[in-house]
Amino acid sequence: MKHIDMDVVVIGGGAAGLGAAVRAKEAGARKVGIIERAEQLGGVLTQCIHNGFGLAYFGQDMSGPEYIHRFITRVNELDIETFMESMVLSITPDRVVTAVSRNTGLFSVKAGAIVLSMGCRERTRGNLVIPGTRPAGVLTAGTAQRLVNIEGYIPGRRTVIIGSGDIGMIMARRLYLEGGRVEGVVEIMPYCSGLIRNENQCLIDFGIPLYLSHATVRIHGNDRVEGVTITPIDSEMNIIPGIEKYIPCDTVLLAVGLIPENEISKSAGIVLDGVTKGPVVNEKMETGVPGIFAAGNVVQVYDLVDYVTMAGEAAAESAVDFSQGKRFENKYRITAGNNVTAIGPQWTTGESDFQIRMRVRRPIKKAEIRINGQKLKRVLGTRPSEMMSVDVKQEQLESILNKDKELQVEVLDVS
Amino acid sequence: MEKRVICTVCPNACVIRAYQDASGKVITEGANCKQGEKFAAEEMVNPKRILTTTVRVELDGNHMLLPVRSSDFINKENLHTYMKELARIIVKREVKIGETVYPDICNTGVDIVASTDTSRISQK
Amino acid sequence: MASKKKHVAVIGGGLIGCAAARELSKYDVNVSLIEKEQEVALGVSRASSSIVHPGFRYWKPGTLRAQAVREGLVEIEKLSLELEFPFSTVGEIVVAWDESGIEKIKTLKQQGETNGLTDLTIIGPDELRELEPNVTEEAVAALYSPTAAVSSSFECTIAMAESAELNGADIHCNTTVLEIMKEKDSFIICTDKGEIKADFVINAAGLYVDEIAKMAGSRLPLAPERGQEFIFDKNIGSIVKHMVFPAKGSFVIPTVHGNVMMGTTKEVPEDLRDTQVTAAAWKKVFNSAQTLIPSIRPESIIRGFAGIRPQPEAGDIVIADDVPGFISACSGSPGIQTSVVMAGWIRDRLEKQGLVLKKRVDFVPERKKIRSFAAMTDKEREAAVNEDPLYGHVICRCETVTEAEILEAIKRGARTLDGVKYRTRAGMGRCQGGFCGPRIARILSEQLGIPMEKVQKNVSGTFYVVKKAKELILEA
Repeated sequence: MKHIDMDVVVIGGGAAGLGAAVRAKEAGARKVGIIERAEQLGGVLTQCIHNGFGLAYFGQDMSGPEYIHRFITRVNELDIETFMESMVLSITPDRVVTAVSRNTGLFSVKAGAIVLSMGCRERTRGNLVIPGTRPAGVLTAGTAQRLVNIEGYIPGRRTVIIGSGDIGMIMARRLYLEGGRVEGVVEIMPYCSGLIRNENQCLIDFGIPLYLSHATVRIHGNDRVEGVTITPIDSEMNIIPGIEKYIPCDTVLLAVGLIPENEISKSAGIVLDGVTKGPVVNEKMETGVPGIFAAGNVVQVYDLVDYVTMAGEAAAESAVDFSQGKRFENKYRITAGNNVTAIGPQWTTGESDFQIRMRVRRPIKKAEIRINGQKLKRVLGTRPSEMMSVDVKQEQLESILNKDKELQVEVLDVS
Repeated sequence: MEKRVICTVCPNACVIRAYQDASGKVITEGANCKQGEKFAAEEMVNPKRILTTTVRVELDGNHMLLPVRSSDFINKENLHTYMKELARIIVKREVKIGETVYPDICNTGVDIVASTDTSRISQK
Repeated sequence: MASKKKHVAVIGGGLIGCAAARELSKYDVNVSLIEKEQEVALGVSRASSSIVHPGFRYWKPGTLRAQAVREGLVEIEKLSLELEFPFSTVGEIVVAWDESGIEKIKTLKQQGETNGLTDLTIIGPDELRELEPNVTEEAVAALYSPTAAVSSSFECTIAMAESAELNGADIHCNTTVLEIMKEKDSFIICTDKGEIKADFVINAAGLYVDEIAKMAGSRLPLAPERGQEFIFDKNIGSIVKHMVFPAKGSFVIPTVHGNVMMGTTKEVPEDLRDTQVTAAAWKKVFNSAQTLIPSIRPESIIRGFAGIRPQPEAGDIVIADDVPGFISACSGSPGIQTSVVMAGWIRDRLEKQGLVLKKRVDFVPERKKIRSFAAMTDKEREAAVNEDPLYGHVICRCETVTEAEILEAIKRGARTLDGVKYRTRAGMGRCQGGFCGPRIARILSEQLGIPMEKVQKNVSGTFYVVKKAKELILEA
């Protein structure tokens, strides 16, 4: 078995991983490597051929492949080693990564520090237990995107999309433009869960109906999908009987949520947060296992890739520090209060300025972010689908801690 | 002619309806500011989008898809026509990011350019 | 002069058909198995709870079912070792929390003893808690049966089919029986791929057993029954170690693949293809299961499925031989252990009907399963990749299944996405084929020499994709 030593090993070569690897090299790490299971670097961005990426990071409106191209070029320029088509099998708490590929065989990498950036998987129909038969033609939107944009196959002629998340709306437009019929997007909440820009440019533009406050109660079809039955629900999420609608279609795409992919993290003994489903981290992006850092969607689901890249970079800086001997200690806990969910990081070392990421539980037109009662920021037009952040300065910390030495973050509706 | 949009100028996300009156003047309903009115009017009169799609590539017997984009905004009303046109082509040479794979599509003055190098597309 | 070797045709590639084919392949006869789908095990036999019962539920003296369950328990375990399909003696606990429950478990114990079981015990709350700490605190007593087991109906079917083939049986997939004609002492089976002449016919067509029986002038009426079951994510751990049943209600059992499953229902389906999962059943099963194991959560479910049990109307196992030379067989549930016993009974009936059965000296009882990368040690993995680099190419990320295993599955008869899944576990994990699906479809397309648009999920018509990109838009 081949044994390799590296200063920083990055697991997953998507947006977070590429940002991390490049920054790690720039920050002075000598040997930096990326272990990637696909044939190309870029993660999901290779299949996100639409634009909307890079506005914050590059000040340009780019497609996924264009965004990633910049980083891959840097990876090549910086001599970062890449292990492609390699699957990580396990990680030990003392930072030995075991992986396998057909070219290298089984190999292990002893790392000075690790950055986990495995991204997410998609929630499936089975998770929701949507009643009905299980015909061919039921796919998650991301799988459909791979089929259309990489493999080159259209999953179906007439599609209904369950879930109004961005990937669902993006695929509605994609299938429509590729000659398919999109019969509608079905959303259980009373509001669209993706960006308004996508609602305009993917649905309204093409007359694709958006059924808000509707549940999918049955998928029909023996061999291939034949249709779906949807029904309106009330504010308590109960089905309003008697007015269900049958929509004939041959394909159902699911855009019903992303789940951070942390099986490998668990193998290293990393503790996950029950809400975000990602590792519990501090502001240095370090997990509960010293020397193992995490960034991007594997920590919590982000909306903009630009912030994922920045998270990767932050994790890399911490990782390089660690590999050069620095150690971090968690001091203050950060918790979610009123109207707040999916908060991160969950700890701070108290050593630096940092940013707290969160989502609101419901849309709030005029929101005020407070920590332990102290007003920090006002945000207009907040929605659960758009991650919010608030900056905390290191010198503020002592004054805003509560008696339990915690930072409890809440969002007030001041509309 | 009429158009309904959700305005993206500010987080208020006003739902605005733009339409033409009998004299051909553009009227908007639902906007709370001048920028919103302008946004909705533009969307009705001259809606422009960036087109992103894929085109077929054939290199050394390998058949792949290359992601491409319009080099500039293009009129939204004819997207299907552009898509059909692009569905016909097969790129048979190595291309670098930003290179034009289809110049001046349908006389719009807009080129369709590669979003990545052909050498970086998945060989599957 | 030696007479020509007799030909036995088996219709139906499910548990009974494959068990019969394997049994007959031990003898000096020609065996053909005719299956309408692209692979065996795509009918009834792919969707079941795969419980191997000790015999206190199917116990009535004088019934074939009681006998087959009792004898089958021993035979199927032996077979699982010979054919390397999964089999795990997890034991069963039937829990009671009130008077009627206690009555019920006492009755079950008596029934079991009537059916020959000597190892059933009634245990108290302390022992119960030791065996199953996650069972409801309300439980006061339980029936404990150490020999109950779980297996896998589709892997058992596939293993028996492979073994039959290894021993000379011909398996004709993609072949639908249209008509059966009698010609002197033999049968002409008319299929959509041509005629097959056979001296004896075994009709093991599962849900279609009556339809096929009619073709030969016989009958085997069914009262089909649908059962729905739900599988939990592996990350809930071994929330139960034994099969746990309440005296009345839904079970919570470990599966042989390391998941936990709850079920089941007994409903009348709308038709033979009505395998829908219903909201009503999901609610009923979950609520009942949660009464039994309070810590289960709905978010942990990764899949619901349903199967239709071909229960004979007669209420017992049926082996109908009213038409000479034509034997119809159906057992309903439980299927796995009864199939091997029934194969022996079918063989005996054939002998009675004049088929001379001479044992073959070159019969090979063993069949090796596909070597699983996921189950290997690091050392074994290294060796496997050195021998075959495709053991280093992981395709199914969730279950760590490599390309080498997928290619082997196709070599052994997998033709569909589910066929690969049943033979390798690829697609059974958390993401339910979201990541590996397109890759496996491409491998199938390449290996079978068919366009991607013809790759199927399982049975005929379940196409994975419909058109090449660009062809659809140019069509409009």
